[in-house]
Amino acid sequence: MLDIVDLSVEIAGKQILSSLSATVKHGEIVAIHGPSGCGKSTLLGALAGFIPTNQGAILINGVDVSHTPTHRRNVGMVFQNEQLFPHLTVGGNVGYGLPAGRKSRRERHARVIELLNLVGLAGFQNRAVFDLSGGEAKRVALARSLAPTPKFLLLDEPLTGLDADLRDELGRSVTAVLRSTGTTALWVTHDGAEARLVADRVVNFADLHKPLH
Amino acid sequence: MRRLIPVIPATFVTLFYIFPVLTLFRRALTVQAFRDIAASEALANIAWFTLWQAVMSTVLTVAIGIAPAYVLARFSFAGRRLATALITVPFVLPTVVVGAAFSSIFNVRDSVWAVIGAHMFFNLAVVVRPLADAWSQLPRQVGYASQTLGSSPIATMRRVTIPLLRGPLIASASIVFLFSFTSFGVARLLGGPSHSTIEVEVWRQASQLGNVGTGAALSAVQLMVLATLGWWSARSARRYSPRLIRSPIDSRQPARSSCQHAAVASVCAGSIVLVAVPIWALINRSLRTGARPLLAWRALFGFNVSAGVTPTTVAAIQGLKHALLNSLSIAAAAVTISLVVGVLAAISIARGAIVLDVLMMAPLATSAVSIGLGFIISFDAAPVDWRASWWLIPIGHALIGVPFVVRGSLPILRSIDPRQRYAAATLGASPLRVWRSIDGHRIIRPVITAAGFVAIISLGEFGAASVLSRSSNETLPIVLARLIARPVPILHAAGYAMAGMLAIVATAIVVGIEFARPHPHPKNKTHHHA
Repeated sequence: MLDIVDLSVEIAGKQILSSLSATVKHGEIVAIHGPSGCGKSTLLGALAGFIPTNQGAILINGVDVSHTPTHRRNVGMVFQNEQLFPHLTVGGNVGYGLPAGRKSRRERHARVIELLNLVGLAGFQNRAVFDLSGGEAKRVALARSLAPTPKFLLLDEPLTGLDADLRDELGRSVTAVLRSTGTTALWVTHDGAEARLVADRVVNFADLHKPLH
Repeated sequence: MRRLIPVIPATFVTLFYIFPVLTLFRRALTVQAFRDIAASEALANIAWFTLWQAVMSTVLTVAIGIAPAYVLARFSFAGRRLATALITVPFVLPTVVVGAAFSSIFNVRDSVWAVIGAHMFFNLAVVVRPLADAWSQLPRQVGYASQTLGSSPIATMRRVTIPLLRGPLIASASIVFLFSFTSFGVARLLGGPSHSTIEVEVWRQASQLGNVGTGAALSAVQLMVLATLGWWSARSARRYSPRLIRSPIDSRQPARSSCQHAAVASVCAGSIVLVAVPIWALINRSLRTGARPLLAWRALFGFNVSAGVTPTTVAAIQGLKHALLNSLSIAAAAVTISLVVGVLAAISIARGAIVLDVLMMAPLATSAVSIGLGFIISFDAAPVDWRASWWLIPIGHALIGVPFVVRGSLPILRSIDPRQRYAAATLGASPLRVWRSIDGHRIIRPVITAAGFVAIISLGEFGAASVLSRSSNETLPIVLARLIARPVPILHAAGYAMAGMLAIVATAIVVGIEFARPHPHPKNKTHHHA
């Protein structure tokens, strides 16, 4: 479970987020909907740990992680422009978060194949990321973020840049993957239709200023 | 008229680069010359030292360059442009000036570490500037993506950032290696006879001992090593260049944590120390003339200092002033030639003369002493008996200056939409007016910047001038090196005073150029995640 309690973020003396609160239950997909520039991406950055918070707490399963560095939070993220690593293949990207020390090479390979199958990209492991279409790149980004089995997943406008048909198709398929893996997810979007399509519950960004249950 | 444009740069590079290099090879490529080189233990030691110190200089320069490149690429702070300019200053400081400053600060000569330290000082900008430029265009989110997958910041650097920056890193390291491998001024002034490089040996053999054949053969070996390095570097840069993801927005942010503030403060302080300490050391040494600390400065500026100073000493100081005037004329000629040839070459290359692009860049990968030696052995018989001509030195400097003009103006010429020229022509503009109004005014700023760099490089150039200059037309660095080596306190001090003034002028020009450049992201100062 994710609890955001009275969270505030200030950057260069400017208040970007002020006293936000929210709760996401285990296995739930919550979409936060709000206009561009309202602070949705800053909220995700704070939850992931690469934007420091000034006040409040971020609780994952009851543990405050507000001061835990990003790489120790076990929070996955799908970025708006995927941010795939261009020097690695599709398989290299998906397997990036699988620790070499704790899993054998064979186990890691099997997990990569399993995830690529899950997102509908079987046989893509040796492809260069430059050769992928927009939809394929987004599926690879999803598979990569799920590989280390994160405690919860953040999705930052993951369907931006796709045409309407592909966006709906990919939205349904990503949601199906998240449900099949039981992943708790916070999905931010400026598109109300997309929010209703993918989420169990839609929250307006402006409503985060009051406690939610 | 259009067809004549490439003829001038093509003729220039053929006559003053290809012809001398081919002559050098023709003269050098004899079995006997190579047998002599292979049989000489002294030359083998010199080759080994040259390679060893170049590798060490490269590794250490890259190692110390990564941290300031990171700070300049990732943080926005007051004084960032000044810090960038100050880090660039050592690159354009005359080698004689740096040699004098190093021996003054560390009181060392004949030291391998002085040579390597001076190479690091000179070449820091070669690593920091391109690396910071590439790094600033790498989206921060790529690093964040790695960290959300469990990689620590250090693991992210090793697994993502460095592999993505491998192209610019290899390119920078290759240039540092090239400059260190062909080191002449630093090795000659700080290394002493026991730490000679191939470049110094080429000069010693050809100019001091009269063994032009051995000098040419050594020079040919060096050129072959550099050509191989150039080929490997270009191939690697091509191979890794697609790895760089370019972000259209400026990814710099203000420092947030105390650690980040400390990193920014260190780079600011370090860049000031980098320039201020050598200048302070030079000025300080120029004042060590016993009871009359300003004696050398008074002599330089023409005040009457006859009391206690011999006429020979006064004449030597006058010689310094004569050398300064001579160097200024040479620099003016080198700038003029570089601008004419460079702009014509850039226009031709922008129109598709790719071969010219490669040819115009080649002198940068050729050592200055080799260029000078090529001139000496090529232009020694009618109808090209030009060895004694004063203008050979500015021609040699222009060979190194032209690439700066081409690289500065070419991207701008290539970015101009050709339809703008068609539009001007349909409005009745003549071809000359079309060029002046569409192309000319846009390249004026990069051309002026390049002119500044060419002027400083020419004023401080030591290698080609060591081979080409005659007693009647000695350049300032040649005279400075001689004065600083002489045991007469006032001459010593006058040499340091002149070196200090050169360093101040070079600093002023570089800082001026940096602040005259348009800001790359005028409307995107900071990118937040809002």
